[in-house]
Amino acid sequence: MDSKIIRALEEILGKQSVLSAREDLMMYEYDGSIEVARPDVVVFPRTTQDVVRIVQLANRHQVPITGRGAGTGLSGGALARQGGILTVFSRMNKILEIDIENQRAVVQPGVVNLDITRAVEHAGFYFAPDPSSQKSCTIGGNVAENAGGPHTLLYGITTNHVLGLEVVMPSGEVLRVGGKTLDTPGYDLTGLLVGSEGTLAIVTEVTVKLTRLPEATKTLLAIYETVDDATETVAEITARAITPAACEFMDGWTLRVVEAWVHAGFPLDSAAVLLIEVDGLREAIEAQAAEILDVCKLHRAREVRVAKDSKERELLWKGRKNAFGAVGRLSPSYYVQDGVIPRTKLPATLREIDVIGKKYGFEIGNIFHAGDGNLHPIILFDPRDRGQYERAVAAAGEIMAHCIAVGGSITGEHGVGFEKSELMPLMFTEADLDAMRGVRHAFNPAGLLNPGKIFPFGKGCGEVRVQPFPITPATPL
Amino acid sequence: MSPATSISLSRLREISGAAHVVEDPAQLTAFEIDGLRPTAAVAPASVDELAEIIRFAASEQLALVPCGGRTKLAMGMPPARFDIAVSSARLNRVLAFDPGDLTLGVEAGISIAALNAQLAEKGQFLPLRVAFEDSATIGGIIATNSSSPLRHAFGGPRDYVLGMEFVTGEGFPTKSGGRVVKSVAGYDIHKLLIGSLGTLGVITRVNFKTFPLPPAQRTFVASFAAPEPVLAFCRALAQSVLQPWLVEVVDPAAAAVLSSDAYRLPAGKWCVVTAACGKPSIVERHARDLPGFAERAQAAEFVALSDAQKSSLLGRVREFPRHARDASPAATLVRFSVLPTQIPALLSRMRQIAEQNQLPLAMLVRASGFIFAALMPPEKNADTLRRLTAAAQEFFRAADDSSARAMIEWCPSELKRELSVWGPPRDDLALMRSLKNEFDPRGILSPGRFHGGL
Amino acid sequence: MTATPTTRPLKGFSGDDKPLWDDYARCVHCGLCLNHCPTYRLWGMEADSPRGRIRQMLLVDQGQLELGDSFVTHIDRCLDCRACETACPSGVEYGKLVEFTRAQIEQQHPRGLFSRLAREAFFRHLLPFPRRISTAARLAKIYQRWGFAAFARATGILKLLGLDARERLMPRIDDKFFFSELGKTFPAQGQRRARVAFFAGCIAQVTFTQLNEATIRVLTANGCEVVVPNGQLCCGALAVHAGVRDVARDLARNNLEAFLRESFDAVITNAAGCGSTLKEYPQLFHEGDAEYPKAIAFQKKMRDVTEFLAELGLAAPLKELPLRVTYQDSCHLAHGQRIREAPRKLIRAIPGIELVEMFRADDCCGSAGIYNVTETAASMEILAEKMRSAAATKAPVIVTANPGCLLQLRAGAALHGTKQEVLHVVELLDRAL
Repeated sequence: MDSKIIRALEEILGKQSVLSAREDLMMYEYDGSIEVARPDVVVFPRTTQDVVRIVQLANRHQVPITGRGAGTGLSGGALARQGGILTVFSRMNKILEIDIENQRAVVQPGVVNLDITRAVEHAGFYFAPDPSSQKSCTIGGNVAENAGGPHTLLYGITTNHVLGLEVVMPSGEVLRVGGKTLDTPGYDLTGLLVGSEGTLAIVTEVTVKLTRLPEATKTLLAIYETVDDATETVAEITARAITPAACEFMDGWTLRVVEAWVHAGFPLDSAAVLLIEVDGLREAIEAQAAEILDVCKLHRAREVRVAKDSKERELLWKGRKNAFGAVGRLSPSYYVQDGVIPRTKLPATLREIDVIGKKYGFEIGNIFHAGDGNLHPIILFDPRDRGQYERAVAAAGEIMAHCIAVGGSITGEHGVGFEKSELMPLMFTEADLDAMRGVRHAFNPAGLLNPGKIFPFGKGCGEVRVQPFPITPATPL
Repeated sequence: MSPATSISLSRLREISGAAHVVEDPAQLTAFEIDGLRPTAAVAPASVDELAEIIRFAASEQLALVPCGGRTKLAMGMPPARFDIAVSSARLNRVLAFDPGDLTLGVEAGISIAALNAQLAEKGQFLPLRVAFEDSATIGGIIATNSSSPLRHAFGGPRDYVLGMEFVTGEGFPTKSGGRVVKSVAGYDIHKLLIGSLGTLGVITRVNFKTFPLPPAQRTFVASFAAPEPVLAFCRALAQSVLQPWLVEVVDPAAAAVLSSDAYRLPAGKWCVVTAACGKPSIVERHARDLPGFAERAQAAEFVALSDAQKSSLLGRVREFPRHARDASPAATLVRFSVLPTQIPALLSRMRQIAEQNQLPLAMLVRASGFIFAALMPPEKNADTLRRLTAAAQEFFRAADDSSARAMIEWCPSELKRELSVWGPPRDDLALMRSLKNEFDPRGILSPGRFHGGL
Repeated sequence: MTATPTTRPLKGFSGDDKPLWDDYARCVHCGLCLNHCPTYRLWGMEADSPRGRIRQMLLVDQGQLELGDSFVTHIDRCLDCRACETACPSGVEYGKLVEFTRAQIEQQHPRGLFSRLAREAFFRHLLPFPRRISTAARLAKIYQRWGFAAFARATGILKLLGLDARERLMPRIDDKFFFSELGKTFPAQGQRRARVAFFAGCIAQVTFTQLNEATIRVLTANGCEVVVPNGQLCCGALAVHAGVRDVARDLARNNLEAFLRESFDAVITNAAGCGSTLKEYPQLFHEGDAEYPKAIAFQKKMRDVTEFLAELGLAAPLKELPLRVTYQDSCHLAHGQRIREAPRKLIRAIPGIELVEMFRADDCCGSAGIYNVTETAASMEILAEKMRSAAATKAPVIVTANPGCLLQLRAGAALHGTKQEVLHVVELLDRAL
């Protein structure tokens, strides 16, 4: 990159807020996904004005610009795929306003998801979207990817909890869209921007809705001898329209990995468990829990445990929310998918995944938001074995194709990023993609914002892209 | 009839069949918007037909306005041009209903009443209890983002529409979102279409999340002598763990509008209508706790309604715009999006404005943050129109001062010559305009009807 | 991508005591650790987060990153508080990784003369030698007691030298040193319930004599016969944290001899930082080494005093102490040894005590061994945040479980004027006896 740009950035932000040395840039070439891309310079704005000036500079020099929060994303959304300026929001992390009476909070994009809840729970409120990375991930990233989480089954995903945004347009103009009020007349630009993966504008402030903490919560762990029994339970819970607050599936294989770490008492000899939570009024949860118990028994649950206190509940959730990470105990690398299917298709789809796994010679772990039909098959591979890596990607592609075939989606909450951009044609026609390109053009005509994301490079093919994996083992001496 | 017009008509007949093209001026009055009559109305039988009509219109620069039950054509500004009304009357099928997945895909022309009747067979429903329920279609409800009292518990369409299909101003059938309950692939263009009044595309299919019908429900009315305690009651309720499905505040004038022989709201009082739904035990809990809230807020009275009373009242609450319009020849209905804490001040300011302009005012407040204010002069003449204009402009100012947003949902056409029903232009207008240009580069979709002349 | 591949091959890690693929590749770069890392929270930089540091280790090991100033800076800045281990779902043993990395730095990276001399003097020529500690302490006492300290503070010389914060962190040298107690046995009061060896520490013997005495009082009052074995030396924790593993290994050999000479029910320490290293003695040796089985045997005996007392159960009657207190988790107790409940249980056992949890009680206070001296500015910022949380509890007493934390928090209370007293758990118990 032109050293003039770096010097200009240093002038704007101060030297301590600009990184350009090779060893520093290497720290921003990865995120939670398996993708890799190195920026040319990394900047740490503290104010909206900082962002404006960074964007103006990028514009002047026609340099790509990509936003990043904590880099916990699973689709490569926060990676500078085409180099350029990576704007990291970790220092723009103030909660600007808490308005309990109106149940709103206004925060900067670098605020950690869970910190909003921590700031308002004393008043009986919380921020409902709870991605598994909520202890680290930031609101800016949540907004960009339209993040979900276990409890989005009842409470909705990020977009349902974001009412207004302040954004810096690729031109450098600062714009406020939506607001603290509901259903602001005009096109719902907030709804469009949430989930746009940082390709339309850079979010510098977020107005969120706060949710009342429920009066009571009950957490159930249903234990099964077969995967089918568990998935059929989910299908029936859905069909009976019970809608718990969360309904999570973990197969036996994942359970054993997780249990080694949390010691939550997950049964090691089971084929699958469902972690089901109901919350709301005391009366409501008793009724719901009873109904769920019925369904579980009907589908041959071996046992249904009820968490006896908040400590046990937290332990069960700790197991669930850290499950992906726990997989690291088994394998240095894993590839996790994010497909969605109609809940009526759950049993058949899990059987299909098993078949695909066998075909490619992988044991595929399944731990996912069953209530939403949002699958997260995990394929373990050793990055030192390129053949294995390629087979993992191929198996994942086949699973995705199946999800689409049954009327589903290639991503329920992780975003398309650059991981799934080539899968978009599986779901959308060229006309659909053109309409989306039109939207991008309206905001971001020069294409400088987070280029290389969402849209496929190749035209109209479902070819599977294989990235050269960066982590090559040290040559044995 | 100009030669150009006759070519258009023959092309429309070619595409959809003569039986589905309305050319008779007398019949076309039914498609008028603010007195503007189109040259033709056409009802395509398929998305392909619709796309072809739009491509044709685009090539000929003919302006289209999509319509369904035609219950809300009076919303928005008059179109700058109006050549063809495109009716969704023949696009009214349920395309996919998976009760086991609680998901639904329907064509835009299906009426909400027909749809909910079909869903009810499987014990499900859509929480769109909107005005003109008997004839309003899904397409129109979504395009106008019609408000439902059930928004309190379910959010708006943006919260349960999963995806959409639509035809752009260039005639491309397009989709966004998905059919499953969760999908973040691509841009949520369907969110843009909600409330866009047919200016970005013609909606052909909407995918929804459906919800289970509650096994039990009960409706309650608490009445108060003054507005302050009413709002205190609502605030206390909002901070509580209770989960009513709706919380509607009715001012004394609106109470008169909403009263019927079947149920009369207490005269001269401010009332709060709440409903609890779900399992009997949940309804019981609300029935037990709500009187306490009412008492603490010094309610004059708290009653639970009988089924007949409930049906009458909730029906009239839902149809408030219709009743307000029936009650006045120049009814002007303004919708405010407002923060709950701002509601008291805004209400009193609005009452002042109405009083100063000698206009009767009825107000219905959705406690989660909406005010529907109906100015209802007993007659329509130059003087009342002048006063309506003045009051409406002051309403916009009042909204601005309380960080609220206002728009006029209904008003006499004459008023639209004096002001924009969308209120003063906003700073995101330029962006909205570029989006409009992307979807409708020729400006043929409902031109001029939206915010900022889009 | 503009990555320019380095042309000259980098050497990477070498020799013994280096981070291994099997250990660092467990990191799946999920990032769940980031917000638990005090330095990441402070600066918001990936390179100063656990994930970033592990990535740097990996890059160095693969010859893609130089084992140079940048790498050393980020590794130096790590508190080794191990909060990331608590957060890590993949079970990455970060403490072990960073300690091995520091050993590599120690072997391979030339530091500046001053830094080298200071490190040599401290790790190699002071800590292993009780007599030198004692001499140094006497000199320091002269500084503190004869008015030099007051003079230095009053004239602002310290501020001028940038040493004022560090000076406040300097422990007050005891009037009486604990060295005189080595070799003694303290009988149990009442029926003997256990026979334990007491690990007395190194610098603690000249600065925390009272704490050591209190520990012995509490143990004996609860039916423990306490032996303070002769010949024990510094545990080597500071050396391990700094990567000076040869010194640590020598100290470990010595201590294994000193404590395994006789049979005890347990070996007790009141310093969480020492305890954590003592329990990890096996990491200093290879499985085939003669010391390894001894280190394992020793590990099994090793107990933090809070862990031991909570397990044994308090037998001594306790007076009522009507007091509101808050507990600061010592990192090497909570994260290093996974002990959180034991100290809280002991505190709650005192009648009249109200234990109020502070926000993020298990975040490091910034003491981190000698971090407050080597990385003073960062340490002071972390401390400021900690004191805000502590003050917010409105508890007049902060309780913790490690001498380093005591020093740091006492300095914090003085610097930030919170007027809070800082006590070790056993000091609180001692008051209630």
